Amino acid sequence: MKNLIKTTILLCMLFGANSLMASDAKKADAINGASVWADTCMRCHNLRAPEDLSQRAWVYSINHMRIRAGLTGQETRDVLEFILSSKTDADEHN
Amino acid sequence: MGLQVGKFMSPIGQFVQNQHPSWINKLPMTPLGFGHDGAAPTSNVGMALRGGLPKIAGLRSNYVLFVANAPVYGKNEDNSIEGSLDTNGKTTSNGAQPTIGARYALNPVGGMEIGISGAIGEIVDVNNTLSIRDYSVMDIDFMYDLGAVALKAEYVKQEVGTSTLNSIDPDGGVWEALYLQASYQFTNVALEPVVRYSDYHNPDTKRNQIALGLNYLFSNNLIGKFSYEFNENEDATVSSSDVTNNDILRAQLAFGF
Ligand code: HEC
Repeated sequence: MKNLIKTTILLCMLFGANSLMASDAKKADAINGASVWADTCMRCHNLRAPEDLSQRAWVYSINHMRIRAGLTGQETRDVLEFILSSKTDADEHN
Repeated sequence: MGLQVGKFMSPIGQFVQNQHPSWINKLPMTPLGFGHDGAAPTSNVGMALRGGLPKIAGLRSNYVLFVANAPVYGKNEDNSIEGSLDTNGKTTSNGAQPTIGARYALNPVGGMEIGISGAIGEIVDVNNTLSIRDYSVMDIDFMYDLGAVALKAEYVKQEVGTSTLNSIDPDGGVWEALYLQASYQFTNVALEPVVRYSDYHNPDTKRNQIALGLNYLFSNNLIGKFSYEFNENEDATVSSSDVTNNDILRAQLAFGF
């Protein structure tokens, strides 16, 4: 059991290092966001359209979905970029 | 990468953590064994580290690693003591080893996820904290969204070891459940038929269910659900009029924020 705890801690550190290296803050990419969105966002539940939520609410929700859907930080920023850029002028006041 | 500290839904499998909200679950009820006191663990108090991984061979995948307090053996929700598992997150391990677990899930094609998860640790008897046994859980989950058709499936198994102290149920046992679900969303009418098979075996009972549902989508997050369940207790000595053998009609209106 002690060994298992050690292994877990080691794995956590590995993943940690890995995600630090991956997060060299690339600009959000709406094209990649669209593809992640199409592959991911209808898998668990019905589609939630960009106009369903305000811009502010999307920022919270997308971080929530990052945890649920298991997205990387970059993928999360990309999907958010895609969703916000798809919001129509009509719901811009949100 | 995200860190969850405190109480969180069990990261084992898919139904409990990601399908439970009623606007997401396509039937009014959970599959047999995937609700409270079932075969699937409910929640944890501890720490979980989770996130997406960089693409491997062009495929996305994600992981969860967690450590949590040990579950308790022999306590039902109505507080009756009878060989059952209490997997609601506990604020203490009562001297047992904590549960350590992981889930890894792969997305082979868009809309599909295949997950495998498991955990090991110890479990302590509710009325005798000296009686500590081995505990393990393993799970395989699958979902595939093909547009109109959506498929979901999961198998989970929890195992409780034997106790030499003979406090509740020295033998321990296996709690296992399975569900297979298919649904179809029409495009010209807002209707969605659903069919789901589930079964649940534990040391006390063996049951199965076929549930047929028809949903009306007022919108994507406001859904009227009707279902008819055919329930069967596989123990032939249980009366056919027992609740576990009854057919049940249900209606539910679900809204998701
Ligand atoms: C692994 C399953 C899963 C995936 C994949 C997923 N969601 Fe969700 N989503 C959920 C669950 C579960 C909830 C309900 C959360 C709750 O009630 O706590 C939810 C809720 C939501 C909500 C309602 C607001 C909220 O935050 O609760 C929105 C909007 C949403 N999801 C959008 C998305 C988008 C956009 C994506 C793609 C990046 C996505 N979801 C992918 C499981 C998922």
